[in-house]
Amino acid sequence: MSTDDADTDEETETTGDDDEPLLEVKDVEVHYKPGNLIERYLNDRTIRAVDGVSFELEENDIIVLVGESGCGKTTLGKAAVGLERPTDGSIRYKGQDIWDSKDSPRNADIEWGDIRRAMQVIHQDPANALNASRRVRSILADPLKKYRTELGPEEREETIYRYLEYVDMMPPEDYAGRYPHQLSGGEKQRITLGRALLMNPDIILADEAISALDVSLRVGMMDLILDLQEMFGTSYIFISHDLANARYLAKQAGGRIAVMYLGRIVEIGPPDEIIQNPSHPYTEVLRWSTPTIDPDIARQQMADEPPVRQLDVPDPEDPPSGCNFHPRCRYGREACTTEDPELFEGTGTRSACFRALPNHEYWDSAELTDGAEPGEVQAGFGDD
Amino acid sequence: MATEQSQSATTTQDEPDEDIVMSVRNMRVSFDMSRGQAWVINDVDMDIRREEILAVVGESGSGKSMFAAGLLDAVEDPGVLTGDITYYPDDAERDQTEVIGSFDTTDDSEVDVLGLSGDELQAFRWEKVSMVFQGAMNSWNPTMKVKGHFHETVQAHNAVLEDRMDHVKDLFEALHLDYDRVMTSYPHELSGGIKQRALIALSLVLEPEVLVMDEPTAALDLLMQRSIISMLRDLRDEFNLTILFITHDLPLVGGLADRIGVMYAFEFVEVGDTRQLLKDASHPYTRALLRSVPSIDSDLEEMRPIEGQRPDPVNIPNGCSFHPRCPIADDRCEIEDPDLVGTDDDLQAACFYPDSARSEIPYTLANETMEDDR
Repeated sequence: MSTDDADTDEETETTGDDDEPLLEVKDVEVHYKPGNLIERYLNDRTIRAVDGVSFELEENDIIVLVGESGCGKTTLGKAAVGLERPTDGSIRYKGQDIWDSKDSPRNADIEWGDIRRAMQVIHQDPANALNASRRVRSILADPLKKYRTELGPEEREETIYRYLEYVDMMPPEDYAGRYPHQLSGGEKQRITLGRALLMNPDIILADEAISALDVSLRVGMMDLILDLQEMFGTSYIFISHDLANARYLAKQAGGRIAVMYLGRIVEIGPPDEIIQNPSHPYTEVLRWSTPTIDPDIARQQMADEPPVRQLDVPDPEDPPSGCNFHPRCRYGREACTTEDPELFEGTGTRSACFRALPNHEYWDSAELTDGAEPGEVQAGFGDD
Repeated sequence: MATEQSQSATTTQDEPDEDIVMSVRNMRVSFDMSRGQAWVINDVDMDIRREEILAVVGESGSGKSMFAAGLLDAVEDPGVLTGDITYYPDDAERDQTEVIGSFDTTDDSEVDVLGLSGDELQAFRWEKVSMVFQGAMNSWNPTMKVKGHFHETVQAHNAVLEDRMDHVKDLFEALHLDYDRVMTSYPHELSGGIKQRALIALSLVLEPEVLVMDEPTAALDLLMQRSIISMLRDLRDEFNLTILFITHDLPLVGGLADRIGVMYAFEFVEVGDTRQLLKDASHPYTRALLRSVPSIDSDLEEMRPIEGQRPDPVNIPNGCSFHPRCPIADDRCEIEDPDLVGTDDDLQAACFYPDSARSEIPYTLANETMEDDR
């Protein structure tokens, strides 16, 4: 929670030293073959859901993955906590490659089971994440029975009550006896948070964990997550499509926002920089798309044209050459169509855009116009 | 309807205020449940002004979608809808000799929606008031080209196909759609944003006066959502539409709506001009809601969730339905149910203490330092 955490986005190439990160995601790719079994053999079509992403997560850290539907944020989150095997790249937990640990347990420093326990998930819809025919008590007892075998029945009961108190479910004895349908949406989500915390995890993946809640309860849930983060020192990978919520979480926790587009992280940095001073043109688009509540500013913004040349996202099966944002980018130039930008050190953030480099050939190449004036939206068609 | 007096005046008057296109009086929707009777719309009055964009904002379970369904007498069994819902056709429309579809209003100065027969209601729903549902882009028939949907609708209402398709061309232009390409495509060949915009065009093919939209942008990408919002204002201006926009997303409507109606516990608790309502709301719930919604440029330190639970439709609290969660509630609020009364020029709130609401529940919309960053 200290300001030091905000500085941890400095990439440090560490393999095996003491200050290695809690979680290191390196050049991870998750590619899917679409279609049924036969089609998969006959075609060589590939969907690049996640295409070369690296980030690090420190202890007591929070990273919010933001992007539109289909940008790969959920796939990346799942890969990062070992729920989805990446087709390439590595994921290291405290220096241990997690898939090596699963494949060759004998050589592993950290067992696969311990890694699984250390990484927990909270899903978007709490109603579907809880077994409707079991009481809260037995839902919460399951993980304890599996991982905390030293506890007797009474201690288990006490532990359950203690964790119910942590997630503000008072009195715990009352809530423990309830079925999920006797809980409100916010209470169900707090049960899933409590269930994740029972495992004493190092990392929690929260995939749109507040999107299913009433708007008036979202801030409360985020505050609870932040309080418990401080208490338990857990790190979070938080997935959200909403820049306003991402800002709230990242800012209160001193974490980072990572903006994703077509399987890549295009910009990563502290929330204030991302929102007030975005370096990547796509971050600008997200910022433009997020409505502001002040009616005067909002009315004024209604007249603004979208800061893109095409409204629709290109087909992920056939991503554009070079920088994959160039067909929509209002700053797109010839250089963007051939060369693929990596994350460059920009002003306050790291951004995958040549505009972050003052001496790049981008500045000398011709502007892309596609027959339309920059800023003017074409009829709204991307490729289909 | 600024005060109680004028409210009772309109119900007794035969001649409506000129600018009202639909008026709702004492709307109630109830469901019989094993636990008792559930009121999911609890005695709602509302006037929709001609050619306005009215946003109905509420959290899930506040009754906002049921209100929209009620306007079209589309509450599904076993729900029971009662009350008076009146549609006032445009004067110009009454004078015109040719009718577009099969619903003839040339003789009527007002239409009692709940009194319509089945056939009349079917015609009314497309020709006078039409509706776009949440996720409705998935309601396209996958085996039929987009053009087929338009032809089918026009023919079902006995309208002249050529006239209508000319009108659709105008609609497509306003919605930034490529007429030839979209019309000859199957729905699966189009992106979600295009499908949703084409559906808006389809709902307007018979030139209804009122377009009711229930979370029309909820399933779309942010950029598409924002772009459709911008298009809706242009659409209203070009085709003289009245738009009822239903959403849970308060920041979405700041730039879109002319008026906002805030629903809580199955009724409107505050209705008024968008700017006034957002800048300085007078109902404690609206103020608490504004304080609980993180916006892209709001001050995070002041964000607070609303304590407590939303009420159960079977067991709505006595008195003011918000009193169990309200920080300024007193004995009176527990017994007496406040009516919507004017607190400002164009703002009505169902609260006895709008002044203390304003002093006790502070909120700020935008962080001053961030206003110029765009």
